[in-house]
Amino acid sequence: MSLLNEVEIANPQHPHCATLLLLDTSGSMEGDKIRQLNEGLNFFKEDILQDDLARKRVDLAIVTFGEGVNIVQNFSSVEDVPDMQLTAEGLTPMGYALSTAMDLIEQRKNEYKIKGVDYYRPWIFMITDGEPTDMKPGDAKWNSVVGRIHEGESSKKFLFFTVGVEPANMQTLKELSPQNRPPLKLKKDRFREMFSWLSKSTKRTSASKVGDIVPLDNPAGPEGWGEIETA
Amino acid sequence: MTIATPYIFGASVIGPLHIQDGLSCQDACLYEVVSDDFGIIAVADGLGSVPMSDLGARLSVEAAVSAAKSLLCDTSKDGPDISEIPMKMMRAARESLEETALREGFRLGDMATTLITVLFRGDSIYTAQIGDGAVVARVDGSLVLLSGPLNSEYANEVTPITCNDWQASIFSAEARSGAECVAVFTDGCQRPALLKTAEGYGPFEKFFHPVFSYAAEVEDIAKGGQELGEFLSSEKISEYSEDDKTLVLAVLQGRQQ
Repeated sequence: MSLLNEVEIANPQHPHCATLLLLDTSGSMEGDKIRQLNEGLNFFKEDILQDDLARKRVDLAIVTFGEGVNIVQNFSSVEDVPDMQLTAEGLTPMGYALSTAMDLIEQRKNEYKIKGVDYYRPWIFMITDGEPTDMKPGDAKWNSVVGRIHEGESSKKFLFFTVGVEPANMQTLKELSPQNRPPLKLKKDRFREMFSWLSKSTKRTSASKVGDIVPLDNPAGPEGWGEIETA
Repeated sequence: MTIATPYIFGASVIGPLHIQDGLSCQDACLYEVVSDDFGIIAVADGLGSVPMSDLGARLSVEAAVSAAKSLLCDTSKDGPDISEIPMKMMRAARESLEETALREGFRLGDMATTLITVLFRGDSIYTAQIGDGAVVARVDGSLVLLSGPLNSEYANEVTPITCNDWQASIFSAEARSGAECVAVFTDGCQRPALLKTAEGYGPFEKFFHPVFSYAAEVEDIAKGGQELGEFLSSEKISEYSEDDKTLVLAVLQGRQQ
């Protein structure tokens, strides 16, 4: 059919799904926790690469907070993300890390807009075993950071998920998290299951099209990897 | 044998993702030339997240076109202002969905769909739209985006006609004269057909020039619709869009020699 030969495609690119992993690498994560975190991260990357659509659509960034806040990997295709071997040391500058994460998300969206790339609502997925050491509930930095998280979620700038690993201060994480999405507490040694849920959720999102509400498996279900504290 | 203008033809095809998932096509289109003078087009895209969006899309286009035909039959001196007809088509679609929901015990939102309604007469076009998809016309030789995607910022979020503030969410385009041909399409065709920049959307010349040339040379409406369906189902068009696709083409005046 000659029409097919003659037309060109205006926008020959896939929509993108920006996913930012915000990871606590403070000293208390040393040992088994950082080992499981590294294994989970690398599993997540490999699982995304196995999915033809997700591989083309998921853009991944990794930011750690421990000995400072480090942009270990700025947004790039999952194919360009090397294997991770994070180490644990330092305190928990979570406030600065959260600000950095939200800045990176906005920058990425601006890049998408400039290039005319369609994109899904970005994800910020934070994993921590503690509480912030650079801000306290009620101080100026806390009010600024937490206000920005809540406003960002309510105005649909991003989706914000928090996972607390024992002995995370779940009450602090609850105050920090959006009301519609309370923090989950990771069940013992369930890092792999958590990353499996994350890759499955990311794959579903990157396959969704206009009009879709993406159904996610309940992470706090009976077989889930997390639980929502009610106390 | 040539076809007298105006004429309209189109196709809705299921996307690769729905084929893979065993779902039906959730796009729908309906069009008609009335009294050799008026053209009526309705195009809808049911939302993938709800169970009866294919029904919602079909009911919407049927109600919209039926309403337009009824209005155009009113030849009294107090007859309708034709510039208002696309909006009235929208209202008729919404009412049809509400009545169906009430009668069958469905949730209105379970039939969520976008909708584009177009009426043309001579070389004048009137358009209304809720949700995404677009209307592009060739006007005095230049491509014009009469109405464009009204989605949110994100690739998988859109406002359907079943939402609470549907009336405030409708875009009603200004009437446009001088049109030679028009294309009405759902979002499955957006990536091939529309350029996207930081400033917004614009029609892509290298898509529409061949498409409008093809439309002007069609000699058999049924065959044209079939070929359009094959075109929309092709790997070239589907590669970056796994969604259902609808494209309706109308030639309002003249024919290319």
